[in-house]
Amino acid sequence: MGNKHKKPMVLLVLALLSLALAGCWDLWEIDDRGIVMAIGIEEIPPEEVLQTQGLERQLIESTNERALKITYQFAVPSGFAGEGSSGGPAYVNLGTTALSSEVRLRGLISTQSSRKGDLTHLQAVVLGPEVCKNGIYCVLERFIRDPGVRRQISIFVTEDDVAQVLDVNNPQEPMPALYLVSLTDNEDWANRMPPDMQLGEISRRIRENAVYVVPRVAAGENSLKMAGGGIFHGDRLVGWLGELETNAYRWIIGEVDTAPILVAAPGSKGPRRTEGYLAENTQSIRSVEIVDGQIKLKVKISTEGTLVERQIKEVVWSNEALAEVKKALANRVSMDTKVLIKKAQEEWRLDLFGFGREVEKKYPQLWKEIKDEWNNLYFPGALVEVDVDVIINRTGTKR
Amino acid sequence: MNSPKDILTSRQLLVILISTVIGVQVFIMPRLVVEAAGRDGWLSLVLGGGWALLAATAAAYLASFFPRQTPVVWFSHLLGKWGGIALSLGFGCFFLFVAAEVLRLFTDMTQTYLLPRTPSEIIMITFLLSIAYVVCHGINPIARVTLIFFLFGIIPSIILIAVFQGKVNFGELVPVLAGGIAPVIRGFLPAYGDFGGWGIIVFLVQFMDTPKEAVKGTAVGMAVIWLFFMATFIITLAAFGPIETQYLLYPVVDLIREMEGVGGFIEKLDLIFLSAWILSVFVTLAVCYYVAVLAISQLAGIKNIAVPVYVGLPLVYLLALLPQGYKAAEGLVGYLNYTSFIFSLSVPLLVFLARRKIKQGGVSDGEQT
Repeated sequence: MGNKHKKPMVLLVLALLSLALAGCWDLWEIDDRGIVMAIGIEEIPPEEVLQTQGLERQLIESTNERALKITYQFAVPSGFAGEGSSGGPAYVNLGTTALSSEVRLRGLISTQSSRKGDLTHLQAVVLGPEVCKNGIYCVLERFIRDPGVRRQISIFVTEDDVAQVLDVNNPQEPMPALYLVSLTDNEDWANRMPPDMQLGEISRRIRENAVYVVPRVAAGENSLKMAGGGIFHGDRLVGWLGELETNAYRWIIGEVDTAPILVAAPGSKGPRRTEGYLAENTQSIRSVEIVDGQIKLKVKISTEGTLVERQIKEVVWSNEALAEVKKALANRVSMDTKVLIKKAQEEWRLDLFGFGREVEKKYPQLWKEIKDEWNNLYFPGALVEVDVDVIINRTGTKR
Repeated sequence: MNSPKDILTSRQLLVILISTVIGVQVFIMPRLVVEAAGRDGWLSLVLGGGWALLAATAAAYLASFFPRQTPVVWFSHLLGKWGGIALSLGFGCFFLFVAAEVLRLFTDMTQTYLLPRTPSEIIMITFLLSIAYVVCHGINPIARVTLIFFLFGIIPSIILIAVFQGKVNFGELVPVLAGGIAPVIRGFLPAYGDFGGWGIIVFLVQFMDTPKEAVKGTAVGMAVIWLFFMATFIITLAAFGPIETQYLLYPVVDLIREMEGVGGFIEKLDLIFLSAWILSVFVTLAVCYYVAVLAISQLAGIKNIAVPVYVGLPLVYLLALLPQGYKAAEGLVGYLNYTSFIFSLSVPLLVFLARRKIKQGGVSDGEQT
């Protein structure tokens, strides 16, 4: 290399070396991150937090705030299955209590955790019944605003102790946070679960002051059960949707993917024999109509599927038998849905199914007048018509 | 007047136009439009985009009367000496402000999502220096860089939005015109403002050897942008609904964050998307700054633009840092929209004047060069 090239080469090397410096100064190594997988939030009586004395007590600015108990589930990377696994637990739960704000609590939890909390991999948030009854917006707001937190975090409610839900010891899935999320994947298989509710969706529903259903989990010995849901209006829990109610609810909102329904087989004697039908393709169209000044809510459900079970010996391949089965199935669905709509109208007085939006679409001017009284007055007073159409495409391997 | 190597083809013009107009404002556009027009925002976009398309095409048509002539010269032909100077200065300052605004919004967004702990000064200075390097060398390198970035940054971003998979409900678009026509009109300005970058056409046609092609290139480019903005708006509305959209600072980024590729296997696409978007912002900023510097240096009769490029950098930097906080910075978008709208109103007037002068034979038209 000639001498005259030396200087530029030195400069080039220096410039290239400086590249290596960039980006390191604010590096946060994966080993140093306390990856929070799930968060459980429950409200507690403020007295538990306000027990401190003297200046500490003074420094807690206000006694008029909500007191929260928050459980953080940290991942323990060495506990994950794999070659480097130490065989220890995959997670550790740390809980702390303070007034109202999760931001304060995060600082507090760092007094216990060996690693600073990092919410970018947060999977699930479990809310306790008390916090839900008193409003979830102020609790979830902090997560919605944080650009590091995904909007797809699944939200659950529980009637049990939140800490217990996050500490379930399931051999199939060692990390409770992932266990919870994997349960939501089954919602197309088991219609007792309401559709997955995510943080972004909830933020939107709260803004719209809508009525929606959040999946409910219950803690068992070494498993969780996700079935039924909490009914929310705006940001408050106002009731519970039972497991079978959830099933009917999904038929109405058209979220049935592969759902079985059962009916009593006609003409069976002794203990009831059943017919099982698996819906494979279901559509539900909700609409409204005004008939003689009366609002009429219409649900048109059409479903196609397979007959998967028939406990009586007679073959189903006859026009009469098929028609009979179809009729029984349609009756079953329409009865279930009607009963649920009736309960929503009379007991909850809440439009769970989004008929209000249909009114807005079709009669925008009318909607402006009635929207404030919709849940209270107009929805409960509306007529209901349910129309179910069942098509049996296949009958499995038997005739 | 310009060095002979400064040649733009109509394809390059098209690519520059698309990459420049799709800048940072598209990220906040759905919020601004929904705030004003609610569900009917897409109608505002139809109007705003249509008007911008007409204005841009008319501007290209106007500029094609004066091949290889800078607007600084023909503005004065049409409007008299002082009117021409005022308009050129107006354009120059407008694009200087646009560059500052783009830089500021981009920096704020980068800090929110990508580089939360990097000081904004560092982001701005590195960005400005790399832009200055390209801009110094004139329109040709800008055009080539734009083409490369178009292929690797902008096309993937457009595809990403086009194939959006997620919970969308196009029923959110109805009822149409439930509040009458007034909200649509209110949404016109924020919708139109999104297309405000079309003004670069006025200054870019001078580099074309066949300026008549510019009209077609501009029309196609604006139509592509129009479609893209409409799609972005409609998908955002369908995903979030008209209420939540108003509360999201960057609705389009949140849209990308809701997205899951390949059945949930790929998540956090926003990081890839935003990184690609840096290239688009680079082009927007480079072209706006170039046009600003070009207008002012041609006005002052400076041949070598390298000096004004470096002199102007601190100005853009200071302007970008001037607003206190994000809210103030975004508030300036409204003023820029107004200014751009006034420019668009001046185009038909200029076309009228130019046609009259040509009829009178008082202006050098195509044949004279």
